[in-house]
Amino acid sequence: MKKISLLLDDVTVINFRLLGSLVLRYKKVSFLICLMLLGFVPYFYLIQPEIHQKKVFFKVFHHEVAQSANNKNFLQQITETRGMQLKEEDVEAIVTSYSFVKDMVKRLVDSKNIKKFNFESPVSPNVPFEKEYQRCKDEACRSKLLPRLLAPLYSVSVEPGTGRMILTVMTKNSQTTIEIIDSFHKVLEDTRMKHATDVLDKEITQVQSLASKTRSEIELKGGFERIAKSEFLNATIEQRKNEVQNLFLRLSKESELYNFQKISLKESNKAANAETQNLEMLSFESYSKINQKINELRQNIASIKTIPDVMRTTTDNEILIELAEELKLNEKELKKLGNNTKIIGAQGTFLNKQINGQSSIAFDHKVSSQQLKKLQSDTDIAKKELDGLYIQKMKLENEFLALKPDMEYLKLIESRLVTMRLKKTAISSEVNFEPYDLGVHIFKENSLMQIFVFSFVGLVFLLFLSLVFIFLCDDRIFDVNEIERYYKDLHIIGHAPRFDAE
Amino acid sequence: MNSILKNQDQTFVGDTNSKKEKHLKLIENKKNGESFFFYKVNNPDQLTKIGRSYLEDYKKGIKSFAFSSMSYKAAQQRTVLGLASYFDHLFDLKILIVSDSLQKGMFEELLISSKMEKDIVHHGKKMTIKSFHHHFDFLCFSSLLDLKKQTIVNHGHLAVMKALVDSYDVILWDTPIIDSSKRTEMIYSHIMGHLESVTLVVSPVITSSTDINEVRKYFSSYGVDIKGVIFDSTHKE
Repeated sequence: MKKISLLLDDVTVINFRLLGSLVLRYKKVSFLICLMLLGFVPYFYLIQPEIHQKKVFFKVFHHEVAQSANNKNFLQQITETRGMQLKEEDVEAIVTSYSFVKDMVKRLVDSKNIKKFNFESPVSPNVPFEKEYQRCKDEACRSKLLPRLLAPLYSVSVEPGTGRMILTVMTKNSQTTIEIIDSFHKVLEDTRMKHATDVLDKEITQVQSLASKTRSEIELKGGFERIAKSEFLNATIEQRKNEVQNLFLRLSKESELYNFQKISLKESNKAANAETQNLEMLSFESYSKINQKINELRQNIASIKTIPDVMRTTTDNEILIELAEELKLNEKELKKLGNNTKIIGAQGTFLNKQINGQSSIAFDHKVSSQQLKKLQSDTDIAKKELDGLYIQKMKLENEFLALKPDMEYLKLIESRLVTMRLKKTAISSEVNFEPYDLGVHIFKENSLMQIFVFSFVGLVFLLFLSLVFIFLCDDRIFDVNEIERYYKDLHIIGHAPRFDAE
Repeated sequence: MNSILKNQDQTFVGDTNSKKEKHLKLIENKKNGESFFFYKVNNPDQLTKIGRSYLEDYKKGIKSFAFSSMSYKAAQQRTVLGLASYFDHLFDLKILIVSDSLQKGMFEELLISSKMEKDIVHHGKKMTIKSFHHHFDFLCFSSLLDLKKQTIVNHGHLAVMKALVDSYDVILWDTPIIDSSKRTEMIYSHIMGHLESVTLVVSPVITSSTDINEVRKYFSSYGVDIKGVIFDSTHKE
């Protein structure tokens, strides 16, 4: 007790002065412990395995991330509608699940370089399993033991501030680190894709069943029959509408023709009754004759001229000369008659024409009149039929009102079904990995300075304990003060004399 | 034991007072030369300090001082020799050093140069004492043990011892280590009666608390007062 009280101090709790003197008193022990420090530092540093670490960042799509519904991918829409957003905690749970690790193991075992991988943990080694794994010779053995070894090699955490997730892989081998990252990446994406597909399949099945149920209900109420009827009616109405339109068109054209013929007939009658002066008529007749003759002469001349000069006979040439002279004479005569004769001629031609066509116009007018009457009657009949069809349609629509909610519901369900099927074709993982290279950070768990500090602290503590222990066990007297403290009843007379000779 | 002796022989007490007066007179009229060994002391301040303490006791009539240590005899011998030279330096006193190891350590050199021998004969029993140039005398502990062995009756032995003690002014006992004392306890028990105070000589690193306790227990069992502790600062680990 006396010794323990000596170790304590009222102010500093521990009597450091005494501890200092103990260091000097038990020099050998102190020296030995310092020597241990010098030995431990490099030893502990060198026995540490190298850690091959790599961090890969990935992000999970969130509801908040998407700006608008149009920008969201299909999976986001699904998860939003079903309230199944993937959260960081979910990712952490997924990647630590046994099934996930097993999938990773499957990929790793399939790798060609499986024998080069080192699955020993550089941080928390599981020695019995690691040794057992090293003895494995076949794939089955590796697959059985790897999940236990693989799980401690990677971890997933959330980066504070950015919300990104960090995959950290630490192994004793760079190749293993990269391979684990690759398999993690692929397995996570596949898992999420499969999950999303399963969810969609389930939802599609549910919606399909709902649709068929609704359809059968509507069928019981005769909904589809009515729909067919309505569709047929609509088609009929459309057909009738077209027919009526065509009839109206034809009626309008026929009516125009009828009016034209009516006016033509009237004007033709007028023209036929009109009188023309005889003189003018005579001049016109002579003009017509000369004109006709000129034409005939020109034709004859042209036919002779078609014969080449070499082939032409003398007779031919004489005839050609005669014809040319006759043509000149007739042209002169025609010139004398002047332009008036031309006009009168034209009028005459027109009048003759009118007189000759008067009977045919009257016939056509009669035919058009009858045609018009028939068209009018057909149009009236078609209109009546169309009105009847409209009445039928209105009746059907009234009946249809009762079924409308069911029909609308079925429509919505079916449109949703289509949307979901489209979604399924364009499904993608909601986990997006940032690009990463093959570089691996290699380091040791504790730096030389850290080990030095730890060892120093540890050895100082050890030194303290050792000194205190030795001090408590050692009952030798080292100091005159100790006698004063231990034996208060003993008087210290002084120090023993020393002699020169000694 | 000492007190028992005093009761048995009242004249001893009366003698002590007369001796005291005589001693004081001697101090005032010193005729001997100065002690050579006094000047060989490296720490005269400490010698003076402890010397004064013993002088005080001496003035009170105590003249038989024992020194004990558990193992390290050198410090014990130096202390005895230092005190002897202190007393010798200041006064004309008859000083006797009783030691069990005169042929060892500090005393060896002195004993070689101590040519003078004298015998104390009492009741037909003889003890040989060596004198160091009339400064102080040496008596071997074994002589006392031999005396005890020769004496069958206790009374005769006691008378010899008394005569011895009476014939000196200051007796400094360089006691043997406790273990050897215990082995011949019957013999030592008679010597213990002549010790008036015992001083523990403590050597650092060598002497332990157990040793001190043992020495204290041993001397206390004989009724010898523990005067105090002399610390030997010359010896370090």
